[in-house]
Amino acid sequence: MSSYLLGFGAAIAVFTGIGAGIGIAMATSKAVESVARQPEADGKITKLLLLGAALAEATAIYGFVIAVLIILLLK
Amino acid sequence: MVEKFSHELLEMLTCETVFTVGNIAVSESTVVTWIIMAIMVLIAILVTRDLKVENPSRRQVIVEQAVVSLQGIVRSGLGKSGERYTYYMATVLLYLGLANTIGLFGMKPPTKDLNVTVGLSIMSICLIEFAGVRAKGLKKWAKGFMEPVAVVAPINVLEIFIKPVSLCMRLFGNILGAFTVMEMVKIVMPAVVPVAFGLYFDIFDGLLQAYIFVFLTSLFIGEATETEEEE
Amino acid sequence: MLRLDINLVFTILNVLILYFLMKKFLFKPVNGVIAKREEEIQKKLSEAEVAKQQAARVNEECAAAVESAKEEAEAIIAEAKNKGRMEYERILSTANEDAAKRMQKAEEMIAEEKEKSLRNMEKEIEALVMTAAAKVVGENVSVESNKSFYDEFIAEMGEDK
Repeated sequence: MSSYLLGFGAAIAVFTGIGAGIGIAMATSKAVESVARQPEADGKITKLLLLGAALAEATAIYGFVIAVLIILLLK
Repeated sequence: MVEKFSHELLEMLTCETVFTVGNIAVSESTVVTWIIMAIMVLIAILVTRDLKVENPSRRQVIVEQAVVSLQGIVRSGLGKSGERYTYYMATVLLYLGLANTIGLFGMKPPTKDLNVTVGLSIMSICLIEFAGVRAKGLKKWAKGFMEPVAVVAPINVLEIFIKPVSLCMRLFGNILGAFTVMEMVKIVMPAVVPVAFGLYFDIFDGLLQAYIFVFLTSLFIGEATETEEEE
Repeated sequence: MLRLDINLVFTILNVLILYFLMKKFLFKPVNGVIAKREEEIQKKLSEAEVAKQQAARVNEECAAAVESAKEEAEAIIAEAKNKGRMEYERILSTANEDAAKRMQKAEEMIAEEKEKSLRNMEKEIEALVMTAAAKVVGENVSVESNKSFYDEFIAEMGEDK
């Protein structure tokens, strides 16, 4: 039984991915809009977008790490 | 079948001890790190064999260009005041870039091991604080915790610990995740598919994470050393 | 796999060693070469600057010399023209004077000739008239009364003229 709970706990921990997904999607949409408005700035915008995406992804990754920790350590 | 799958996966994920020196267990990540160090130093010695000032050969021009652009990437975060740390940041960038993508060559990336990432982030935070103290002097650095309001001092102090944790967790989690997915794909479908995934996970993600780690550290260093010059 | 053990220290040591090795083998040489090249380029640039300045100066001097030479030439030409004009005028005036004098002399000579020819004519006419009168009047005419007749006649002729 406890292993099921562990499984549930791990699955819920990965829900942090939602925040990352929504945030990065919004950032990408704004980036695309601004490139459409000013095509010359697209190099800088791409760089900033990638940077922001990687930073925002970190929170999703934390969830993943916690899930792995739960599964592996709380056996 | 599922058990074998999970067993194999787990085996891949753990860091095995390669050999023991006395009763110190040297794990895989250290060995791979040694290999990476050897590769880097060898390449460095090879390309700087005879440098000419006047009429450089094409190889030398490429090398110079690469080094200059490498330092340029790092300098943009460090700003003017952090320039003395360029060499260390560039070294870490090269090491991480190589370490994260070594999965392509069949070895386990050392950053999959928590020790490596925590070690790197401890060094980063020490460097940041050391840079701050060196640039601003001990008293001002201590007073810097009170900015902007004295109430936020605990949060500022807490930030000293949070920054490296977030750095190392980000790096570790990304590389671990990439490695896990790659291994799963390899176990299930060892044919053409790993190449496509490998292109994204290993190369792109690995390089991106390495760059982000170095960039954030250099940003913090620049921030720590620069607040002095603004006055 | 998520344990922290002695490898932490190993990693830190490894990275530090790597940093020093890289600094010695990669960054110092490459940056050194780049800096040296930069220096040489700067040196060559400043040398070129100096040479350019020198060339500009020499150029200026040449231009100034050419300028002064031109001015001198113009002055000489102007002077020559002036002199030429003066000479011409002098010659002209001399010639004019000469011509005027000659004309005067010629006129005088003509007047003289006229007088001389007139007197010759007078003499001839006198002789002619005397011969004719002698022939007309015969042998009884004395020389003095002929002369008085003749002088009257010439005076009339002269008045008419």
